[in-house]
Amino acid sequence: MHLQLTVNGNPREVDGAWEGESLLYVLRERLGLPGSKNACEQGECGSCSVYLDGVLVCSCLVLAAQAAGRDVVTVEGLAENGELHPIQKDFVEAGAVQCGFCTPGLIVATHELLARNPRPTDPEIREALAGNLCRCTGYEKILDAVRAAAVRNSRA
Amino acid sequence: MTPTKERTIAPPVRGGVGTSARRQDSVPKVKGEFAYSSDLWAEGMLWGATVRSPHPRAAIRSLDITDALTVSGVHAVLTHEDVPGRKLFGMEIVDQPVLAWDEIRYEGEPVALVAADHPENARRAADRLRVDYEELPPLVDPERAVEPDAPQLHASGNLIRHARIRCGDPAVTADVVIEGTYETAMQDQAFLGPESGLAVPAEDGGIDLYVATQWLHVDLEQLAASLGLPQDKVRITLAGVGGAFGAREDLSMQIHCCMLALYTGRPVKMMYSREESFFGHVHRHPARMHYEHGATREGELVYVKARIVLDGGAYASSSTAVCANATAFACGPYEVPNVQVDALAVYTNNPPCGAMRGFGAVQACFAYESQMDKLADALGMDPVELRMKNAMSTGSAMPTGQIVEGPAPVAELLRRVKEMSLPPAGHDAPLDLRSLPGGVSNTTHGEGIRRGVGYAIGFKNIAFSEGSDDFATARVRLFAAGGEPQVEVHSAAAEVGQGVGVVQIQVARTELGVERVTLLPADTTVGSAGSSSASRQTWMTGGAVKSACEAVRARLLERAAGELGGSPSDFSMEGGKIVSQTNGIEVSIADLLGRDSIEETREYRHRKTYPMDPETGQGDAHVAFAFAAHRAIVDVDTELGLVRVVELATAQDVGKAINPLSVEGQIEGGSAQGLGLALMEEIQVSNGRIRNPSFTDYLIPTVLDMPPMKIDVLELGDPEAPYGVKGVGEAPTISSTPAVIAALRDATGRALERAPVRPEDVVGLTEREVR
Amino acid sequence: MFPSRFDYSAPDSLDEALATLGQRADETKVLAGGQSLIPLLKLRFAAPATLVDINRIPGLDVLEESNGHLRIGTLARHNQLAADSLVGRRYPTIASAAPQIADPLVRNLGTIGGSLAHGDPAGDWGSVMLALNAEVVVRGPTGERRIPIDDFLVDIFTTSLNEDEIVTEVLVPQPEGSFGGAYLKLERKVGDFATVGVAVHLELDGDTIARAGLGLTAVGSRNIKPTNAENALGGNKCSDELFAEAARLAAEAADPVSDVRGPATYKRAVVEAYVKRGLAEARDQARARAGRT
Repeated sequence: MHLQLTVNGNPREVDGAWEGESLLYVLRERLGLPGSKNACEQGECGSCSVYLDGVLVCSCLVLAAQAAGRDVVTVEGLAENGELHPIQKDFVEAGAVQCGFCTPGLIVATHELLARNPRPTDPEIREALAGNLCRCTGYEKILDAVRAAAVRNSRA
Repeated sequence: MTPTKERTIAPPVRGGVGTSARRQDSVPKVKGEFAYSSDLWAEGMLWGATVRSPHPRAAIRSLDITDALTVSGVHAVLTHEDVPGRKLFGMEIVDQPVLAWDEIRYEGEPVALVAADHPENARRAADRLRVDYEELPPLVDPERAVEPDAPQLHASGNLIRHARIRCGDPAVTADVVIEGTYETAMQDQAFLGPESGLAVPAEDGGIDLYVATQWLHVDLEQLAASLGLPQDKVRITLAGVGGAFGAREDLSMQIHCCMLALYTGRPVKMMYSREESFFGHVHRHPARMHYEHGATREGELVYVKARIVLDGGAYASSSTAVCANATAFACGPYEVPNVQVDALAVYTNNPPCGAMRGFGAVQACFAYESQMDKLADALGMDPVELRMKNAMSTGSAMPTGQIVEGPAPVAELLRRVKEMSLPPAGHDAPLDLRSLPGGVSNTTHGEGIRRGVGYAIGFKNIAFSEGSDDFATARVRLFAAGGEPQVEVHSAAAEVGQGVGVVQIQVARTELGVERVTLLPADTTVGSAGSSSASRQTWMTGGAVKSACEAVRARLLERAAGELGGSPSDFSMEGGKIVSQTNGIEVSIADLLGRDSIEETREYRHRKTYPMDPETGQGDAHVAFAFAAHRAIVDVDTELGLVRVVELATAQDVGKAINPLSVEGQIEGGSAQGLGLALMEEIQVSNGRIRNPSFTDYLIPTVLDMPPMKIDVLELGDPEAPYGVKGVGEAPTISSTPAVIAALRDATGRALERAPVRPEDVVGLTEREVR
Repeated sequence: MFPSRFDYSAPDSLDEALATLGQRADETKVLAGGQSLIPLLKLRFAAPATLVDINRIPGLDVLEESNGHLRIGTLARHNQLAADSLVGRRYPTIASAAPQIADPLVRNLGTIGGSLAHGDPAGDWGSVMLALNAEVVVRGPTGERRIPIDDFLVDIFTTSLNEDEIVTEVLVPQPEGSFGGAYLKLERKVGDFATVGVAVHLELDGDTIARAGLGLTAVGSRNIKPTNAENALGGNKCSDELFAEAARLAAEAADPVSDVRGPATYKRAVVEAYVKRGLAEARDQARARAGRT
């Protein structure tokens, strides 16, 4: 299958993929973008969260063929000109990163939450991030990071 | 070199010991650029796959790889006949086949390997491997396994270890006696980064392996033996590790991946799926524990008798050490004059069990803390008061006879969690359903809700015990670049997420007064650091880096003395400069070094430990102990059995917080895993088969399940340890489980003798027979 | 984690999709949101020769009231329903259920049509639509048919949708009088399938129940409509005793099995508690609505 799609603003082409490969597999193994993670590949953990035409999805539950002609943004696309996105900075500063395997998915999910709801309450944060599993942090520092981002939004 | 005489007060180096210095790996991790073991890629790489037994116990009559080899894209199909060296592996007891040949002992046991050009082709070939199994009835009851007429699963018999404590008078009686039988389920470490790695065949006939593991050198020894290679032909580099929690102590795909790479002459990547991961690593031992406590009417413990049976599953893994821990910590952090403990670890045809955070102490703590609550109830005493009354302290004797030498603030930790402010009793109007049991699922608007409060305290050893030669190695190099001093730290300590990387950097900054410290990738070109286990790395590798820095500093001061005159003791290091204490002359490190560098390697050892006596359990088996206490507050929907943990509060002595932010992260994460075991985490095994090998059915806490935490960190300083540190990672996992379940009992009045507590248990509708 | 090989087509019209489907209907699967189908494909519980992706067909995500019904297009995503203000005002059972389905990520792609056609007895929409007496609109080679939801759901992973048909819409009757509704779900964690779910819909005339609808999730081989309980409620005045009686009848209609999510006796007890609580909530909503008008 020949596949054309836009990833992080750049047109990309893939040859030799077959339709049953997931978008996650294509990103990781064919486009050299392993930032989206593969903790379950069954839509249960959120580690593969990406934007697909602006909608937050599990890239493991999207077929490569479905992504043809569409616009994908991954965690690798959030930093601009080598500068961390403010949410990425918040995760670093809050100590929200331990093993880090959940981190890319959580950062994309947080990015989406704050785009829709710039100043979420704690229950809103928890509800929005409930599909993203973390095994290291107990979530406290992740909440701190998202709260910090929300505070920044309320100042802006 | 231009010595100057201007004295300035040097500011302390930034990012040293005691600061929440930024982790060296956090920026690549938030950018998605950090290379985990599953992210690796090499030109011409093949994909490996494992063929596993669908049966928990079977005899292999025949194995036919012919069909599998015909699948397009397949480059190799290997069986036990292709194992070049030792056909068994194991960390403590070498009892596990690299690939099974005659007998299958657990569901999912590896039987064959495939390498192909695409993971899907590898899987197809795996599907076409023909194995003729003769199914045998699995032995799944650990109590049955030790009966004399049980089928013997290993030539050595079914008993892996029977550890005992015989302390005091076995016939002593007490005013008040309570008994209980407790169970903990099989818990999974459920790290997120699947087992994976990349093996690259080398021109010298050796192999380079990039893998996520907890201990590079113990992997190296086992790999070399099974690959039939000298150890210098096997080189292992730590790839990014997506969590470990004990599950990466044993080998998973390491030997397999190297076998395929050596056979095909191509790089081979292996990566387990989540389902395969549940079969690909060991789990926390399920335990059945019968306890009897005797006490005076005033609440002084007179005796404890315990029988603990740990299901080791098919292979030994670290069962002997887990068993020793369950034994040594069977009575909790209390002074008990008379103790009889029997702990058994046995082979069955259940999934193999081994290391998981808390390592034997978790199971025992659930039982002894449940007993303490029961005893308090029988005595009409406050449960915290009962604990404080019997609390061990520095100088107390363990039931093993070992005197507790470091800080042992048991009563203090209990007092602190007890005195922390309580969250508001009710719920604000309008009700936010997300704060009630059932949460977003709209199950209650307050109907049937009752609140409960529970306390628990636990403890555990730090570092390896029972006489093991436990050491860590670090190499430190000081050099100058661009006129600035820089330090390079190299160790094989596995950064598994806990933060040992930044700890090493912080230690080097503090010891050498140099801010620019680089951590080299962990690999086997430097000596062993020991395992990222047993809460030991900050102490051990931190200690090794400190020693190596001290040696570097000594040489630097010698050099200064040589250059500037005087003796090394006349000089000190301050803010990147060497300063003479006698005449105030100072010189920058960069100038002093020029193009030279100073490099030192040191091994750090903690003091010697001794085995527990096999008959009496007596012996100084441990180096030091970590203590933590928890208070849990829960709301329970008593009609549905749903639970909302409202708050977890904890107090823990960490000795010294090298990185306070990381310490909190460890405490929060450890507490979450304990909460998981209390309420939801269980590998459901039925007749030897795992019924829930997925994140759909194996439940780990989500952000909705974890409550806010209150944390009180004590830094009492262990005189034995560098900077006084104690390990942090495991203690919070131990006491959070019993605290949550105690709170559930408080809310419901039910006995709740099994962890995890399921909703049906809370409402008394448990059906034992379906489990 | 790869599906078996399949041919893939993504037509941009329904007719084209039906034509492709008609070629090898018994070996073809329709791909809507894919949030149930793709995991099944990866686990090889399904291995179709062809996938027809309907996501590029315009107009299948309609959401509007017309001719006495709420029309929900088959591609309406769970999150679209959760966020819709019309649904929020007028269809409380739907509004309550939508944000409880799966997890936030899955809700972004999962569709109502795909979920219903999947026929999973642990699916939430089946119960909601049973409580609301909805109809499923399907298109096939011979045209369109409207199937009452109770006839649409047949057995585990089995519906009365023919292999050459595609679900195009769900029609929900507009509520009358003062109404209320709720979906109560017991899940072990977010994203898990329901251990038990209960959908409740009430329409009141004063304090008399003009219409009561119930649906039960994950307690049988399909979503269950406990008609005895509905009949006991209809025409009677709201009371705790009446609700308790209906709850008892609903629990009787449930036919759960013991599994990894819990024992059957427990699930039956949850049905009873949920029907009671759900009816009370729906009644309170209806009374509040009546008070506002």
